[in-house]
Amino acid sequence: MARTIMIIDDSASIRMVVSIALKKAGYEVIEAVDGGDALEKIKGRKINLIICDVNMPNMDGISFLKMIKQDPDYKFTPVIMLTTESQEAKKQEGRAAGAKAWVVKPFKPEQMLAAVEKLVLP
Amino acid sequence: MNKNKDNAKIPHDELLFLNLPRFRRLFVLHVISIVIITALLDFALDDYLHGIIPMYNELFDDVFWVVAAALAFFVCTVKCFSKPLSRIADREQEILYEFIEQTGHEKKRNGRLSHYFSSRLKLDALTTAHLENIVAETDSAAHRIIGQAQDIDASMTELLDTIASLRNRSEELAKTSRAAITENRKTIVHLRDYVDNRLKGLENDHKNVLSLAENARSMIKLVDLLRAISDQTNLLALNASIEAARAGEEGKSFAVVAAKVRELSIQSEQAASHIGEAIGNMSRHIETQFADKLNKQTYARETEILTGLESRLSGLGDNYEQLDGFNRRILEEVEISSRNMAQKIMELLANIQFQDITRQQIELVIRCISDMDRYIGYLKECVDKPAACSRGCFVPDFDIKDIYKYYTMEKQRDIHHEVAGGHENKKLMQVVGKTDKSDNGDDITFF
Repeated sequence: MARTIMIIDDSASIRMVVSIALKKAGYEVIEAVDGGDALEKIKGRKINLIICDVNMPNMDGISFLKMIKQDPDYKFTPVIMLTTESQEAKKQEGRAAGAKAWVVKPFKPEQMLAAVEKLVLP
Repeated sequence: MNKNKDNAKIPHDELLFLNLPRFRRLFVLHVISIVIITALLDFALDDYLHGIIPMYNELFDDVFWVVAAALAFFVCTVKCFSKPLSRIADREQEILYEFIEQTGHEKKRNGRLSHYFSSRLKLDALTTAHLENIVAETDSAAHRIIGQAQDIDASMTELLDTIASLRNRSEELAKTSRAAITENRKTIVHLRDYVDNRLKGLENDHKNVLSLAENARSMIKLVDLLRAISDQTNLLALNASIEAARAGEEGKSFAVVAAKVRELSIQSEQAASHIGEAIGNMSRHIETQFADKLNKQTYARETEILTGLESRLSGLGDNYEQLDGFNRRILEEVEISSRNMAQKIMELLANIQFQDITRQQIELVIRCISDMDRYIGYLKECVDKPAACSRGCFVPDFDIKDIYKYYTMEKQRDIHHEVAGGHENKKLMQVVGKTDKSDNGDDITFF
């Protein structure tokens, strides 16, 4: 059974790029436009990994991450932060919130896939 | 000290004008001092003046000192204050004119400022609308490019699957063909052996046929012998007939035997002739029908045919192997090219991230314009309604550093430092948010 990955980004082009790369690698993909949308779509689903943008309208990535880590169903779901932000302070904020990796845009699909392969739950 | 230095730069008249309150205080002190000095002189010189002036009395005293004080005041005023006061009056007049002029100019200027602020707000709204349109257009273009790239990628994947399928089929076919070629080669070897064996066989057969013909020819000698025996028998029978005739009646039965023998000898000769002819015919037939066919020339022709067949079969196999090689190379090249193409498509898709980065940068500009518009709105209100600022200007301070908090990428911060200066600021900001790498990508941090 294909493993499911959720991609959360307010940019449709980024969602499409990540989605294509992941689908080619055999993953099932769920897309969400921000943290709030992601919380709606994640309900009742088994998610093997989450890729999340940091700067988004309505609910930003760090807030989403903090909320998801309080949910027992998704507490251990690995989260990769995908952002243009490369400040160490922001990275540490993400780490403190429970992120497993920090990927700076623009990213190379093969590197993203390598990170996904490393972290995705079986 | 500083104040004196500042004063030194101001023209004298202006200085005088600026010091008008002090000047007024000095004038009052001057009047007071004249009154006091006059009173003191009155008190000190009262007795002396009574002595020297006969008509000096109380009225005269008062009039005298008032006149003296007035005179002193007049002299002092004329001497000390008339010129500065005159200058002040002139300057006041000039200032009044300037004020009237400036008030009018200020009204015009405020009107222009207000118009500028209104235009600026409209221009900013227009710029923002254009920028938002750029974001929407690039977003739409990026979607189209991604869609097309996805289609191409799907086609490439299909092509790769087809190539893989063709390759499998080609390999199966090649495997079968290689087995057939191997079999052909074995057949060719067998054919060669057959040809060689046939050569040896033909030589033997040729010899055997020649020997057979020779044997047949040797049998003709026996026929000749038989014919000679028959002739001798015929002659003997003839002699016996002659002798039987001589013997008369006693020889009659012998003559019958002799006649019979003679008849048999004639038949034997005829049979021998027939046998001889038959053997001769057979020998000639063997020689013409078989020996010719079994000679080397015939063998060479057959060998040539067989060698030609061998060569064609071998050539067919070689050609097929070459064709298979070409086919495999073409498939490999197409597969490599297709994989490169698929890789390029993924790179193209990855490069479309520029749209998101550009969008974020444009959104930052829009946000800055929005902040600036808010500030311009305050300024416009300040210009349009100056009364609102009567108890102190309500327009907040605008600081370019306020934009810093909106930045989401290191490149934006670098641009800020380049334009707004302040490498110290950068150092300060880096203490708050140390950067790992520039925004070149390839940056993955695992926690």
